[in-house]
Amino acid sequence: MNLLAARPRSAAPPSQPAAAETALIEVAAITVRYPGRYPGRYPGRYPRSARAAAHAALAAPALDNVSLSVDAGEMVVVLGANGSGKSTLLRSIAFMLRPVSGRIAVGGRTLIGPSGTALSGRALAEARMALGMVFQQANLVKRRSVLANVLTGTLGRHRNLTSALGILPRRERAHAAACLAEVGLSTLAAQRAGTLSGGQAQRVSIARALAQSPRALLADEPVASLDPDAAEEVMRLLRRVSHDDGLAVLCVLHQPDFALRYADRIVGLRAGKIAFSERPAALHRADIAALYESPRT
Amino acid sequence: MSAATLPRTRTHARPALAFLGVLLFLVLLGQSVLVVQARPQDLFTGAHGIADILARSWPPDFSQASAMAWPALETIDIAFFGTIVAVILALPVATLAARNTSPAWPLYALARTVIAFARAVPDLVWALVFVTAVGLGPFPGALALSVHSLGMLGRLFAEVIEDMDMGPVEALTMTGAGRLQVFAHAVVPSVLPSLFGIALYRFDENLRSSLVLGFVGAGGLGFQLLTAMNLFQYRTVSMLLLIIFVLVIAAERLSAALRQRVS
Ligand SMILES: Nc1ncnc2c1ncn2[C@@H]1O[C@H](COP(=O)(O)OP(=O)(O)OP(=O)(O)O)[C@@H](O)[C@H]1O
Ligand SMILES: [Mg+2]
Repeated sequence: MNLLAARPRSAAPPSQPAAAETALIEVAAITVRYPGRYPGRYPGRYPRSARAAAHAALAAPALDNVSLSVDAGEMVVVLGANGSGKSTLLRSIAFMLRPVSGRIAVGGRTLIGPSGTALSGRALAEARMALGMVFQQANLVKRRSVLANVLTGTLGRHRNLTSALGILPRRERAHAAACLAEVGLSTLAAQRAGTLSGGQAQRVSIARALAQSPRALLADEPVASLDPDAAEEVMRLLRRVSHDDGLAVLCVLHQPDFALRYADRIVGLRAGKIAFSERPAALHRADIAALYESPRT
Repeated sequence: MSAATLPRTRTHARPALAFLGVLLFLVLLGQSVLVVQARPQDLFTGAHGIADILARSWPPDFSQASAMAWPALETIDIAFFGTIVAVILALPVATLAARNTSPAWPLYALARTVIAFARAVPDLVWALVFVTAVGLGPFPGALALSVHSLGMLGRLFAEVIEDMDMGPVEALTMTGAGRLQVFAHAVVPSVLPSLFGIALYRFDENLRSSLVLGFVGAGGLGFQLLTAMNLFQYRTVSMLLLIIFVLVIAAERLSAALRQRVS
């Protein structure tokens, strides 16, 4: 397996001149509150008006004045206890939630600004294309082949009727096959996704995200349901796409060991606030342990 | 209520409740006997008549069996047409009537209303309506089955869609794919086999319904059956019943075998 052949960490991220100056993912002082009844079942339903997002929720904010940035080619791991707001952070960056205040930019482009401006329609789709998302579950369409699943990652580039019918340009097929090769699963291209092991399925879901040709990858507990070997493999893969392909990777984990071994930087979240943001070498075990100490009320 | 008191209450309450339940059941049964004016003795006095009809039905008269090929085809095609049209209509309607795929609540409410109405009106009544509208023949029967099946399929399809795993839908939405694309690439592949199975089952039911629809002028074997009965040609009736029996069993077997294949 060539996954270990990652470049040394000090290597400069390849060919991202524009992003070199500003961070690829930039989160500036966002505060997120959940309204009383957030329609969580329908992810496509993104609250459009700033008023709707600001409505209700007198409870403590899920995220409180959080700032964070991830550079191209950097892998940042987020640690924190259950309910500390890790998923909320990722969901905000991925436009599934709308912060009540603050600013989020990806690739220098402001997605959500202080004046309440937010993207919609085609612009929203384009912004989503730039962000690959990996979940705890692989969320593959089980009845379709592995390659067909990877190909769905390219759909955002072809928002028209023929692609809805499954007709995509030939080059996209080659692109999808290349993405599958990148996660080391070319041999399984024709297999039904429902028959894959958990680790394989997760790698296919990463391939699907890569097929979007994203500039950043957001991963929410990608190894939580994998056995140790499969988890190592997925972590190596994430680090490789970050260091070799120059993607900004923001990854939520519940395993401090993985964070210390794979992250360029570790961000600790506690009760919706940033507790620390450090290189692993500069971090003490006690700092991490403190994240999990007092349970959030 | 504490755990200790629970069993005691139960042992006391059980016999009284059971007695009340039985009493209620008997009252319900008694009133139904009165309302339908049940006269079991008439079955005995009428036994002679039944025996007479059975005797006159035997042996089945197959001399006209070949003339029944066309009505049989009509019956099958009424069911086929009704099912296909219903499936085509039910797909979009069910998509609107499923909470997780409906784009807006007025559409959801509208779709649910259409489904409930199409289903609440029996196919026989739809057939009477369409016979009045387009005249006698197989077409009103086919239309009646289309509309009634739209109601039945719409509800079942919507249930399948609502029970679907939303993970892939969310994942595809996050790739930047459009609504139509998410629908085609995540929703359709997940639900298609179940929908196909339900549609096959519906065809099976529609075949039996299409026989009855013949009685109100919608053609097919049902109409032949009615004619033969009106003319007291009981040997033709028994022949028709045999054909119907074979048809229904064959359709049942076929649809069961196909359903096995897709699941
Ligand atoms: N849909 C929702 N509606 C209302 N409150 C929510 C919703 N989702 C999350 N919350 C609240 O927001 C806070 C942060 O939740 P979040 O899911 O971001 O935590 P997390 O760090 O991802 O936890 P976990 O480790 O369990 O995944 C929690 O207090 C949670 O109760
Ligand atoms: Mg979470």
